[in-house]
Amino acid sequence: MAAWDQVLDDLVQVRGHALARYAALLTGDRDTAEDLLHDALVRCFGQARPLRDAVAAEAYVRRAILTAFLDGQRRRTRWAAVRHLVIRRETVDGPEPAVVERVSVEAALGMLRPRLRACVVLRFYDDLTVPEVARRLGLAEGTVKRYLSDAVGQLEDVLGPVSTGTDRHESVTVEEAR
Amino acid sequence: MSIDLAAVLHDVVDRGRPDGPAPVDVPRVRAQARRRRAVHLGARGAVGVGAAGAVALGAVHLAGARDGRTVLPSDPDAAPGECGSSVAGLGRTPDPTLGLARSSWSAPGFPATASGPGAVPGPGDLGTYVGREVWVQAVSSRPQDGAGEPATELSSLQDTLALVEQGYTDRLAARAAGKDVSQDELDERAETVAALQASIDARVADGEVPPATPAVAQVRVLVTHGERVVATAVLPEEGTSDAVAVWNRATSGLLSEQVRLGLVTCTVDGVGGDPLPAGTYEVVVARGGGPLTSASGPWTLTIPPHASAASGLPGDFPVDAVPMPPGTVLAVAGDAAAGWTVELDVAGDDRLFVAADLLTALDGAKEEGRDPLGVTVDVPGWFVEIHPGDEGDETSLFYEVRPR
Repeated sequence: MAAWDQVLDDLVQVRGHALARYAALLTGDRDTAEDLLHDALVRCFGQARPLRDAVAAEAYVRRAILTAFLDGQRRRTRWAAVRHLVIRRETVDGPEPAVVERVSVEAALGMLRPRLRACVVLRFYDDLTVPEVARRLGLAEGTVKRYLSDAVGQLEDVLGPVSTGTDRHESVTVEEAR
Repeated sequence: MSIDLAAVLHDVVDRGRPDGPAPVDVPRVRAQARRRRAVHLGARGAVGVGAAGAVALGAVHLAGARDGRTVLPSDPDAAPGECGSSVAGLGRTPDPTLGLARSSWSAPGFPATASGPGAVPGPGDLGTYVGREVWVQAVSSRPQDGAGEPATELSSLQDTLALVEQGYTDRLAARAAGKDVSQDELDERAETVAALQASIDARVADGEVPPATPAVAQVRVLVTHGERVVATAVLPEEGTSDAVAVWNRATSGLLSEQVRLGLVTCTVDGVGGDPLPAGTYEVVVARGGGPLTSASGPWTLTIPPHASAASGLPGDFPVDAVPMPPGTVLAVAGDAAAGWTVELDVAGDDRLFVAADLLTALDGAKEEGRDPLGVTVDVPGWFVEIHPGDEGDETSLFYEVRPR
């Protein structure tokens, strides 16, 4: 088995579900997320020089997921067609509080416009700084701040108060912008 | 009580419960990745599926203004379809079995027409292009060309194998001619050939029967302006091997092939080769190489006015090391230490690949990746990523330029 084959196997076995869930944060549904993950893996491991470093592979694949997601949004409005089908889990019978938060946040994320969702995921999952988010998305920093502010505002409309963390708070300037 | 957004997102992704079987079909990912790698290797062979190198040549000259005073070819004595001939008497109606469409080789992100359901694409807009060459897709549904049977995994493997074998042979020939071809590269190609052959053998042993190999169809594409033929292209290109010239079979049963169309004047009496002036042109396509009586079409193709070189970049931006196509700088941020992000407005469906070719044409440049989503190129001193704009800004290019 070639080195990249092994890296692919290891990555999917160890982090495959996490990557699919990451993609689902962006897409809002698991089926589309798995398609996105599939495409990202093919893209990353189909290069003339595919990934041979297991540590770097996950980051590359996450980035490819984001790029493919953004590109897909440019060409189709698939999400708009299915969004109403996905936002359906706001009432759950008797789960643990953490699960309530998780399901609610996933559902609330689904109501955001794709670009706002991407900003939230990059900022609060990937822990990127605002300038890094801006670079990754090809946006001005001010635009990212505005998107994050709008996103957090819309999430709070659904979820109630949302903590974005003290350190993030200053650089995101959510409060200032709202 | 507030929700900690970061904590919840990490919880969603990293501490989610195991969700049963793997979220992707790993053997399928592996097979597609291997195929894609094989195509990369094949395309880089001397066969030159050739998009990169050929377009690069055009892009190098992009900075030269398209001269509005260029005299378009005209030859009253030329036979219909020849350079400079009149198409006024030529029947131009859509042929339901032969059509043209944009190609993702020149218009990144444009879906492969032949891979979807439906018929041969009818006359329409082929796009706007700033490079000196454009790739368009010729599409056939004619049974005599071999159309009708859908592509299968086996036929696709066979097509890929033919390309990779040709690439391997060409690289061997290149090494014999003194070119710098490493043994590692040859070994990798040989391994790819062997792996593809093994996959084919296994499927054949299981009783699979592939559709017949499509014919090498002869096609002429004519660019016209004012009822005159001003640029032409033919399939198969002279000197092309059958492995490359054979048309591609799609799962729809349609056949397609890439046509390289120079957006320069064709030659009459030794005069030609000038960039076509800005304007809208008509494009028709016809079968065969004999006397032309009718053609399918017309489609339209637009060449935008020549733009000025990008201005507004900071004084310390490495304009020579990171050349950009003519256009308007919409936004720029950064510095020499941290690098820059630049948003550039550039007309043309081919803007991403034109921009990429400007970089790859530099001495010491190394292309790390290229697809419709973006291009990454190492140039001396800098690492450059380019991706096209989205969300409606369809003439934007975003550059990330980082010190190496």
